[in-house]
Amino acid sequence: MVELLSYPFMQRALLAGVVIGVVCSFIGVFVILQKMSFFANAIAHSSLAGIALGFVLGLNPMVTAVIFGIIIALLIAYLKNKKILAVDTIIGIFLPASMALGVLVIGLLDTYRPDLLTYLFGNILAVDRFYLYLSVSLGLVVIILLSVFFKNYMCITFDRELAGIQGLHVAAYDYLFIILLATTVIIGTRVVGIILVSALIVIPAASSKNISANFKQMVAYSVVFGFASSLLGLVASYYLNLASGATIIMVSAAIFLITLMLRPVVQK
Amino acid sequence: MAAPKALDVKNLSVTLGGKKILQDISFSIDEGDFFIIIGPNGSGKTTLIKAVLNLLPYTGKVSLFGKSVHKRAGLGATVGYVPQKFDFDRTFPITVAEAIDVALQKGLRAPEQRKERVDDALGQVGMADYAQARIGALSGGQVQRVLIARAMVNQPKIVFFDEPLAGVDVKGEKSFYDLIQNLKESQKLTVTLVSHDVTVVNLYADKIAALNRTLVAFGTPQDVLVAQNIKKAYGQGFGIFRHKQCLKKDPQTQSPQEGERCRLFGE
Repeated sequence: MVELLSYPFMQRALLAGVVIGVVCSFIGVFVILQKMSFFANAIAHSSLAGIALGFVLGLNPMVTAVIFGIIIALLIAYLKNKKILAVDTIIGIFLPASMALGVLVIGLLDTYRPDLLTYLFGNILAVDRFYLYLSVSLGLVVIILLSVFFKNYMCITFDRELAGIQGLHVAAYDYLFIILLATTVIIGTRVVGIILVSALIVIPAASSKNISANFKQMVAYSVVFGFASSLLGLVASYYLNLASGATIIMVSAAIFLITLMLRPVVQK
Repeated sequence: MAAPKALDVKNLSVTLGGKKILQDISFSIDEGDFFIIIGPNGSGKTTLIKAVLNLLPYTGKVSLFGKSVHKRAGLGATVGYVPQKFDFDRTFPITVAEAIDVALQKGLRAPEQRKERVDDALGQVGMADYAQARIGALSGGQVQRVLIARAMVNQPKIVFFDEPLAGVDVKGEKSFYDLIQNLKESQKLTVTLVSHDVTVVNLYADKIAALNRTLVAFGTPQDVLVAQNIKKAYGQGFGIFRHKQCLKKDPQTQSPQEGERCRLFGE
């Protein structure tokens, strides 16, 4: 373990992994209770176009991905609020369309970029200082805002009408939540990749829901599971020479299975 | 100077998706009134309540206790609300106490004070032993009591009930009205209740509004519950008959009181 911590790349990976694990699992509680898992998946897939745009324009791809992801997320939310189409239809349009845009933009690149693959499947061991600072600072912003507005989001999640009567501007809180979710999803893609990032959001919260007696417990367990999945997954991937992102998700899935078995006992 | 009206609605109209749902509704009720809104399905009863609570856009003017209700201003602690349907995810891990605590006014910060308020509200509806139960594990009737406790937790001056008796049997109906009547008297509440059932309204209501997109009639039960108004609100084929029935015990003498029930009949 000491040897593992002696490598600077591993220190960065552990710090970034743990921060992302905590942020994803915290926001994940609200995502699964508001039934927005598919929404998170759409944002993740839209980030491919943002990353590709970053390469084409010569900008940092994580920055362009965050901006593009937020724009797509807000567009989906706007159309959802307009009630023109069902949410799953809107997502069913935006997810493949933004993915296709990403593929087309990649085609504009002059040279082959093997690092694009690391965005698809994640490579936390390759994170640089810039990504570390970006993910830690954005992650902290997400945690602070969710903590400050915790009661309000709890109220909106449980009963939107009550929140409206209490004077909460529910639509404004929704848009803020979507920006926070898009930010979380995009910074999470570096850890486990575009394809797996929604699992990092959904699985710890779902595991926690299995064994929680109240809301505060659900948040606490989810954060613990997110933290443990990232840490154990990274350490296991190092010693077993496995893909780090996939190992993190498999650890998370194992925790889910254990909580699923414990569910009848705990909720008796 | 006369006391301000508990609820004052002037020229309220609601249009949703280009369709006029309510047109030019005006009425007012006094503090302490038990006010019941009746009308057939689709007459706009729920829309009226939601507009008054700022949950839907409207034109016109709504005042609560003399204060104009502005959009999104928040109705705060003055108002309690019990919804018609409370479709929540029963697997949601939230306890009864947490579900009521989220409704508490923001200014109340001390955890002991918040707990005391939640416990008091649960005690008022006979659910004191269920504070730590998961709300998803409760029966429909128990959830309804929790929703009433939630509406009462801020010690409101007026509570709105939107068809609280949908799907409730006669026994449950009577116990609900008794509970509301007790709360009204002990807390000096103004009660506004939406119902599509006129059976017991004249036993409890001080004022009634009969609605069918427009305000068909407004006044005391004796004024409103007459054949002409019922035909206007429910259709030409409907009428009303009254009959005496022992319904509840006198709180002082404990002897059965005779009340008058109204029933709708259709041809």
